[in-house]
Amino acid sequence: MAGDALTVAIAVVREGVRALDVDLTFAPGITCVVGPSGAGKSTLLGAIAGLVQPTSGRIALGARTWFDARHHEPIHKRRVAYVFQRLALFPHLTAVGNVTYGMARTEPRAARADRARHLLERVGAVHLSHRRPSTFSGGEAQRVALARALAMAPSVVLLDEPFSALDRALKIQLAGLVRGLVDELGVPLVYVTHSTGEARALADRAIRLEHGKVVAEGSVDEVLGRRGEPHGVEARAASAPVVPRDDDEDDDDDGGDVEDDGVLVAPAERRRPVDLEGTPMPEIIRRR
Amino acid sequence: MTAPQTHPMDWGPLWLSLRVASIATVIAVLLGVGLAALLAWRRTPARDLLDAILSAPLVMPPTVLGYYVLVMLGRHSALGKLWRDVFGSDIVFTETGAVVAATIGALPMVIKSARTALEGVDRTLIAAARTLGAGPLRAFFTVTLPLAAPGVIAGATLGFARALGDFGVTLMVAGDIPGQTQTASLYIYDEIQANRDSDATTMVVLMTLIAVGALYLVNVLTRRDRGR
Repeated sequence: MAGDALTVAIAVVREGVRALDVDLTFAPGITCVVGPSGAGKSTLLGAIAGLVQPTSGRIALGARTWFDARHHEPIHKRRVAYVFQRLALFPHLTAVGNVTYGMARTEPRAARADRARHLLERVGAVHLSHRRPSTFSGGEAQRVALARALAMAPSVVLLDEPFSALDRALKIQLAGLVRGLVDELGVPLVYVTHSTGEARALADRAIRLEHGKVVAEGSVDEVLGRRGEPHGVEARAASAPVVPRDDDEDDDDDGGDVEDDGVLVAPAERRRPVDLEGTPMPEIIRRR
Repeated sequence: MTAPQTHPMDWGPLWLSLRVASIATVIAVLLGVGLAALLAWRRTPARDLLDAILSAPLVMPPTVLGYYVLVMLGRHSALGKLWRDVFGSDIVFTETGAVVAATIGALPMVIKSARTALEGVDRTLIAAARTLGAGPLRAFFTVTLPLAAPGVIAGATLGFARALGDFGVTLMVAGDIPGQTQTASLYIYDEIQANRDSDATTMVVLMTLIAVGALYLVNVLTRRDRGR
């Protein structure tokens, strides 16, 4: 099924500073948004979800306006599946309770629970059905968060660094799952990440944000550079091997790796690439 | 000199106190949670002023509070007349007056505790509920309130204990009419005045047990909350 494209042409001004000023179209498929901390990536997701009100501009899904000078579609009517970086699973609900939360309440309760268990099965978390999030591991919580987001039949999916806390094997598994589910849904998915490896592995298109503006937009290779070519962070890392650390956790495995001691170091030896099914492809994910 | 104990212990004041405190606690929780939500989330210029007014019963003399209630709900006030027209009885010097007095004592306790609990709920969880299709009310009742429940229950328990022990405002608003508005606190005062120390002591011990039990319950609830 083919969904509508999402257009986002907005400015967000905070305390006199233009935090975001973009004019973007997200077609169905996966668009990766990369950029340094403070570039406006999370603000962009917040504006799409309705959690951040733009100062001006327009957001629309197909012909349906979500935001303009006269209208602000309430958050709960947008059907935006948002997987927060902190996951935000409801601690007082079981996995099934979390997954059914976003389902239409016109559907009978038993049918919702059945569908939730089916979704949990698809993400490999059906054994968690009756457990609460406090007992989940990082990977388990991630799977449940994905199932919850996708259970609501979303019109748009937003993922904010969804795999940042996972080990390599889980990242590969869940990335494949996301790819499959998005292909099924046929909706725009906006995927914020610091990892160019993840971006290369998953995205159809990429956008680079800096200081709230789009500095590059196009195919993944166009925006991130072909694998092996220095670009963006890599190029800067190569010319300036030691710079102060960014505030945010960085999972960039292409070149500019932020180590625990807080410095950006020059690219390390390339790791063996692995694709979503375990066959060679660009380095998606690095063991943390 | 202690007068001989020739009459049976009157349990009526204790039951009246428990009934009045229970009704007052229910009213205080319903009002208090709504007001706490208002204070926690609505960034209006009057928020600090509203908080100060609602918290005032914690620090104001009971006589002052009682005076305000008498002026606002007395037989000659507009609200007092309206109440009489609708229900056929007065507010002041009745059990209803005792409930009003107890509610005034309990309300700030509930508001303070509920506000802290509501403000402690992770905003990302509320945002998640909203993106999953919940309107503001559904998000409040299905996510915010359940997560704030231990704090709200703690506030309700403190409010109950406060309502149970009210003396000054109850005396001003409901009077001290045996068999009608004489609560346990007023009963203890009267028994002491009449040199019936034994009955007073029994009631004092019971009130102490209830108050300590309530505070113990608060400690258990808040410890569970911290441990979650």
